[in-house]
Amino acid sequence: TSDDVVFEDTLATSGSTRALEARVKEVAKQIAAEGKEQEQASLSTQVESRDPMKLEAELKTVRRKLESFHVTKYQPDPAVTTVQNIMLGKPFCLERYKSLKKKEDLLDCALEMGDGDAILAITLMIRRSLNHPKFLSVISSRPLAANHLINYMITRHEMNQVIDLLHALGRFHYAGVVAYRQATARGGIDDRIRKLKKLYHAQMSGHEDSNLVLEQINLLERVSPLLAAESQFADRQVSNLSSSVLQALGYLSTWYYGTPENNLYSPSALIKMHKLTRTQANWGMVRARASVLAWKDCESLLVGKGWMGGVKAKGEVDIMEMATVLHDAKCPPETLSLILQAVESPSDRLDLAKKLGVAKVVVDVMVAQKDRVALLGYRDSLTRSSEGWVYADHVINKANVKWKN
Amino acid sequence: MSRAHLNSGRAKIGDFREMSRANILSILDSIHGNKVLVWDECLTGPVGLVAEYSVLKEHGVSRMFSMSATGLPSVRVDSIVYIIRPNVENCDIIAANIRSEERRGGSGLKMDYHIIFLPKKSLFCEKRLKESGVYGSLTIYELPIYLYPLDTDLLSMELPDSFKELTLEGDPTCIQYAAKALMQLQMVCGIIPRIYGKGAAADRLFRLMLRMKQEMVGFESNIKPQIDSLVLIDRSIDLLSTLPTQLTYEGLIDELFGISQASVKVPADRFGGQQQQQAGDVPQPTAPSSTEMRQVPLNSSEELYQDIRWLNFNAVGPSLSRKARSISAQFQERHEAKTVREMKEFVEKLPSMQAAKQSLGTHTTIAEMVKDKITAEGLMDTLEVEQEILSYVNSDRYLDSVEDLACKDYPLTKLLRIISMQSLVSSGLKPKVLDMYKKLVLQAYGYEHLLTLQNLEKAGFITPHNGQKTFGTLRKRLNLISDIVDEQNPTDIAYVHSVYAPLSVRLVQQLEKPGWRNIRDILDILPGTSFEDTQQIPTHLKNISRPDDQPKVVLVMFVGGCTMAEIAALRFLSQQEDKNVEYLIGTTSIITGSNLLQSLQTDLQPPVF
Repeated sequence: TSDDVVFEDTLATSGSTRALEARVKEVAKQIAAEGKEQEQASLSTQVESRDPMKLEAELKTVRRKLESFHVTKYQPDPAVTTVQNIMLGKPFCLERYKSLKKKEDLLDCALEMGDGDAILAITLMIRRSLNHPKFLSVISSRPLAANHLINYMITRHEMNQVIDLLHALGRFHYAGVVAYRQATARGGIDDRIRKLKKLYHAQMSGHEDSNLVLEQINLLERVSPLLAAESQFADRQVSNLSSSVLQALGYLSTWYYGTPENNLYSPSALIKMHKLTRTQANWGMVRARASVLAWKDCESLLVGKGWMGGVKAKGEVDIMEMATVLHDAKCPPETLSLILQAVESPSDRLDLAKKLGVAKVVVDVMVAQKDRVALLGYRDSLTRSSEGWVYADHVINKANVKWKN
Repeated sequence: MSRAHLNSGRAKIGDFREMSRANILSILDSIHGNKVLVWDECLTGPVGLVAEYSVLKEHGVSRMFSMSATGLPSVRVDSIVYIIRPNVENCDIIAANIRSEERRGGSGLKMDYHIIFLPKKSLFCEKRLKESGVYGSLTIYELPIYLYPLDTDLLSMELPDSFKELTLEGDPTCIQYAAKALMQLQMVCGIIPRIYGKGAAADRLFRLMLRMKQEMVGFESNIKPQIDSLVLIDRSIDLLSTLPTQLTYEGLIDELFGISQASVKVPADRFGGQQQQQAGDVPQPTAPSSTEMRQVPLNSSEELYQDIRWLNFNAVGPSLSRKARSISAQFQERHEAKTVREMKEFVEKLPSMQAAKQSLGTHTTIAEMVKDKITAEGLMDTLEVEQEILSYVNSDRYLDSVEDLACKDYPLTKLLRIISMQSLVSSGLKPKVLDMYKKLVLQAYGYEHLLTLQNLEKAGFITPHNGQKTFGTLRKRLNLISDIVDEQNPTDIAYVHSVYAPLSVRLVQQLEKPGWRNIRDILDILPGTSFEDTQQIPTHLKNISRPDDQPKVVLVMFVGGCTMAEIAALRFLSQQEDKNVEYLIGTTSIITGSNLLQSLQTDLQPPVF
């Protein structure tokens, strides 16, 4: 150490005050360099006095001080001071906290003060300066510090290290989430399938959402070869195939309706594989078929022959909702009339038919209810000599109806 | 809003704003010469509330730009000043800007670079700047503004991501900022004697405040306390209140159009008659294109708005009609005025009458726009589903409605609101239902939203069933659901959602009567601790007691955000004559259910070939 001052042992023999003065001056300079200015003041006044006794006493104190500086020079400030320095933007030094206990105390102090900068800076220092198992034991008992570190690593995209750290801390669920995110963040479809498969068997095995990941793998695997083939059709929204199951169903139902189930293109195979509910399947297919004006397909999806030749809705289809969808897709009135027949309650059917403007059905219901007054009112609300008006008019003038009013 | 207006309440918010304003201006003054300000976009609004552009111009700011990675337009000024929040992305952009300027050779004029970190600098930002090699060219300042005044009774920290940071990332920075904000506020408005709080974040905030107070020992405030008590509410204890559609006028404007910094941008084309009169012979400009927007300020200095903002939307129409009639009647008075003195009085009233008329026109238009949007977005149908869920009708009918909505491409955020409501009301979803919803969402909107669902679970919105019946108990004891609500003349805060009284506001209401000690058992069902404490006031101020007829002032501070509906409910309580309390509201930011859930969503792109 270059700044050690070495004294010759001359005090006992030397009587030369001048040499003593010079040495004292030198020591004073060095102590001032250590950052303590008070001593300089008293020494400089003392040096002038030339009294050997006083100078000797001064030298003794100065030596003692220097020795104690050497001892404390590498000792750290109290933890609170350092944390405050970090918070206030003053200079600080973390390297002096050498022992494990000192590091832990420093970290605990920062955690109590709650300053994110301090917590993170100290955590990083501890990570750098301890071996891994020791480091883990420190932060596993301090979840807040761990959170800061994890977030920091995620912002710096140190994904693999973060996942390992999360595993080591026993946060398996979150490790799975981060791994999933990394797998699906970017990359082409085949890339993702590969990563997801790896993920499924590794971080996500036993994870509560693992079966959802499996479904995603299934969708992507099914869709991947199709994407390549479909990209030649510039006017089709091919990206729908990979965005979600319902969108994929919509796409397949639009362009490949009726493909047999053993073919990748088949909408019904997709429905089966993902166990879509009846409602979801219907929505997807009906909208798709309506978009290509395939009204007969819509009809056969939604209604079938009921009792005594009437029309009945298939399954648990919400026929009123579907009628509105078809109407908005501008389906022909014949289709709409047919669908409306499947609405069971006459009053519902009447209201909906009025709302959607299907005159024929309105008239039919009113006739069934034998409500002449309402029918007249309705006819008059229609445009004269339109199809609906003619039909209504014709029915009113038919003789063989027993009107109620 | 002027300082005078902000000071018109019991707590001197105007003075508080002045303090922040003085801070900015002193920093600007210490930078010599001509300056260009480069903004982090999220700060232009909030800082604009404190110091308008005109004032900044007076202090040497010649132009203002937004930060962009592509570099600055070339300017000739003495200094370039960046105002940013302390995050690493901003620092990278600045470093890139500076390096490209140096490479370009600059404009020949030596320019100084300054960074103002708002509210304080961060170690990692400085480290980043050092790593990029630009630290030496910069001078760094801190601008400690933590709280922005939005109105005479409303203060916001404008930290929209605070809930996400607290629950998902475990980052307590916003709590530290909130503590600083409250300390700053107390410097202007006096020490607050009583503090109450509920929730883990509220607890941490409180402890931090105590510690900060200790560090300020020896600093004696000479200001008579203007605020009597402080209530700290952690958003996590009441997630449900953010979710139902807000039905107050201001709440609907926020939900449908988005209010930021107490003003809203709406399409300008419906405001035809409101355009300023053009000079006589200049031909009228062609109608503004439909994308042109108009910014309408929304605050209490506008008398009409002050009256209708907190009303249930169904009561707004009748209120506007009444106002219209009263204004017409006032204008008719000119026919009554006979004497010169009466004429003079009339003319003096004219400007305020005209302002009222314009205000009426603006809000009639806005109310119409709100109504149209409600119809266009089918809000009435979802309202029905919401009210069914809240009324705790244990039916499965809304499961089908949710499925239909998902298949119809209903916006995901809104669907998640409905599912979250169901989960919160039943203390979590049963495994089968939860599975069904998860599958439904992922199949309809894409598997990437698995992460969103994970986040929602972590934040507490959609969770597995935990066997308790929290909502049922709360509902009965605190009377959260009302069947009969008078929307025109409400008597209870439940009118803000037409059936549901926000839990958070009920808790604040109960604090006054019968007091939290009496509802200890209810408080214990909610997550997090509840506490109350007293801060010492210097003795010379203690004896100045408040006259009995003056109402108490209570500051309610939401950590994690609060909605306009909750604010309206608190304002409603302030207006009740028999309650004798006035509420001041502070929050980390003003949220709607949609933007809260959106902050928890993750944006992953599905793979493209």
